[in-house]
Amino acid sequence: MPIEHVKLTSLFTPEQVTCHLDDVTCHELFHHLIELIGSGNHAINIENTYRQLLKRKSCGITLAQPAIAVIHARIKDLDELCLAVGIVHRGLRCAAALEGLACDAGGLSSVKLVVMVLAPLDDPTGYLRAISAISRACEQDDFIDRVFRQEDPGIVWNLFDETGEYLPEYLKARDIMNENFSSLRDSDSLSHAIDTFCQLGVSELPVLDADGDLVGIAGEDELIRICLPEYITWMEDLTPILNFEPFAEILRHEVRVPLIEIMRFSDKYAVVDENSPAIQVAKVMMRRDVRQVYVVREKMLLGIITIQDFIHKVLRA
Amino acid sequence: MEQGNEYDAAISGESLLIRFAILAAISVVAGSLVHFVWGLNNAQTISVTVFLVIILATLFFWSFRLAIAFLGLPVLIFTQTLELECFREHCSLEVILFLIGMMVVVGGLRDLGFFTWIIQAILKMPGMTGKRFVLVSAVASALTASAVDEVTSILFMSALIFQVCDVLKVRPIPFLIICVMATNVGSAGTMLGNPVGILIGSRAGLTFEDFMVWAFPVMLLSLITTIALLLVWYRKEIRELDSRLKQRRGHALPLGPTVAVPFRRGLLLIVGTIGLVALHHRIELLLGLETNTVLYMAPLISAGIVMIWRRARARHYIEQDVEWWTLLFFLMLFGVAGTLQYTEVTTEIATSLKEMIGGESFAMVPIVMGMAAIGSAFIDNVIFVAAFIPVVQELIGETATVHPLWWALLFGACFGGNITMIGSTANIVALGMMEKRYSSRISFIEWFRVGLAAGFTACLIAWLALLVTGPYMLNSSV
Repeated sequence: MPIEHVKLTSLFTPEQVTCHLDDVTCHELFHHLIELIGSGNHAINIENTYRQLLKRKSCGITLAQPAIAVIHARIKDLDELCLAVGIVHRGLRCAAALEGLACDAGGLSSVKLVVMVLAPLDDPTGYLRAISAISRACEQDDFIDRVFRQEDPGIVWNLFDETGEYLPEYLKARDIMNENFSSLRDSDSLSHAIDTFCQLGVSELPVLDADGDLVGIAGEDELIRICLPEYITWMEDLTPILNFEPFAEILRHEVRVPLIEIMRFSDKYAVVDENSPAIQVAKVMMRRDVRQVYVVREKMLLGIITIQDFIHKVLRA
Repeated sequence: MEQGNEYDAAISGESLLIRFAILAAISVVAGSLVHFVWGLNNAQTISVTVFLVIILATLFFWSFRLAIAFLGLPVLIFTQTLELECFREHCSLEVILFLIGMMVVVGGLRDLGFFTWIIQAILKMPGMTGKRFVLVSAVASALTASAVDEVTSILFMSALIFQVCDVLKVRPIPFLIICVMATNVGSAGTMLGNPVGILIGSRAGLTFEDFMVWAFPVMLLSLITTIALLLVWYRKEIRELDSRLKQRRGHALPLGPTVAVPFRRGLLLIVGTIGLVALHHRIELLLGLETNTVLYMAPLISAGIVMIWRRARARHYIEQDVEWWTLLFFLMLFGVAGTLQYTEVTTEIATSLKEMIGGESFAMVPIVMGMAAIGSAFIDNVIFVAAFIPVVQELIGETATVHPLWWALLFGACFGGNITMIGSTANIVALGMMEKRYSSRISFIEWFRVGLAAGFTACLIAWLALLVTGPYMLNSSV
């Protein structure tokens, strides 16, 4: 099947652009952007779409960049990807009251541009590809500042068009990775690693060197394994270890034990290049039976993709 | 020699039938060749063909080897090549019972923390260096193999290697190979070390004392030579281990957590079992029992005590710790190999060997050792030894019980296991554990290069030792 080349600006017209999004509530924001989308050729029922948007807890606001918030959802009966753009001049007033909608935005105070992306229910990657194209457009020099200064929707649309961005042919690893991740340093001690595991409640953490290169993974499994090695588990009689004596020995040395002791190396975790197709990431997860994959540029860790990301971002928007 | 069970299980029915047909065709062609070229009669041809099928099954259908052995027996019975009475005579039930008893004892030793205690003792050794670690782990592997069996030894020593290599972040393969090779060499030291030891002892009427006098010292010599060779071969890796150990000592960090293991009960069990096995000949003489009667019963006595002592685990020992699959295969194999003797194929082989060498049985030592070593490198050494025992019996004749040829067969079968990565069960178990833990494999050539050197050196030492001890051996038996 030939890959369709879709230009970003083919998803909306100047009629779907507004430069007056200030002083609106969250409900007003959603409603207004849906109205803009509905004003085009898309035969969508505005109230129905609005209700679906509110009903689906999994729709949310993503920060494509610190200045760009993307509201996205997959909508029943919608037959094609569609988009609306709004400029925010005095900050997003609804940021503190997102009324139960999932939000992975972190902070919305610096948002200058709001984009709503609505995708058909059976299009798992459309909105992600749209976000990818929007992000790339916004990375161009002064694009955000130039857009932010505009009062005319037509000029805003033209600025988008001038970027010449197309939706990527397929979703890449970098399009779905989480760039906000916790990590450990290779110089850390076991003590610091245990503290971090307890604080974050994660099962594994990437270990980076001073240059940000991924050098290994520290995992809870390895942590337990060094506390209770195989040769101690052979004994049927638990008396010698009833009070976690092997753990006590680890605790006595934890400050001096290097993190490397609970590290797994490259043959024990999955790494993909940032440009790998996202479906390749899913394939790697299944074939290697891992729950997360590390996305790198050469050796530098850029982000992490988990099975949850596929469920949240691909199966649900 | 072992192949992956999961791989065999994954083969489609059609593909399996084709492979079985190829296997049967190869065996029939080989059988026909020996029939027409060597002039064997019909019964001899059938027994050789069935035996070849079983050998090929262990090479290419590891998970089906028992099924093929089950099918082979009726073929021999229905073609009147073998009688049931003859099968019962040759299936060495006493050896099977001995192995069952030892497996239960090993289960008890593990539960009682005996192996944990040994490993912790090594981990806690003060001033550990790379060379010292290799020496201690290799000697411990060999002695544990001599005391219990090669598979148990390598199962526990692998855990030590993995622990140390994980902590120090060094490649475990060289140290695992060293332990495996020491295990294979050590397994020739006593009757307990390897199923071929008890099989040879049983068929030749050798006692535990015979093994201690004639095999154990040769094993020690071969072990020293093998370790020396491996220390040189892996000097780079040992240096790296040494430097990591120094760093760790510098930080005053242990190689692993240790706990206070109540080891005395386990020690009592193993000392009691080995003591009873060691004294079996004296007890037999004292009670006027047949040779090796107490030997076969000793592990059963210990196993019985363990099962009463730890009665809650008794069923576990029998159901989980006894390798029924392997033991049933041995049982069938011994019976089928007995057919070669029953149909006088082994007499034909012995006669041909005598004609080639010139009839002097002492000159056969390197031939038997070499054949056993090469045979064991590629097929299960138990299969080879089971088939070759009657040949050695023919070669020796009625002269003596303790004969250099028995030891040549034992050393060849045990030391030959070092030549290839599929040469012994210990190799397969250790490499399987490593693959599971590290998802890494060793290439056939990487093993073969060091294995050939180690196997050849150990066999050479054993041959030289037999040259020296042989005359004394013959004199002591007459």
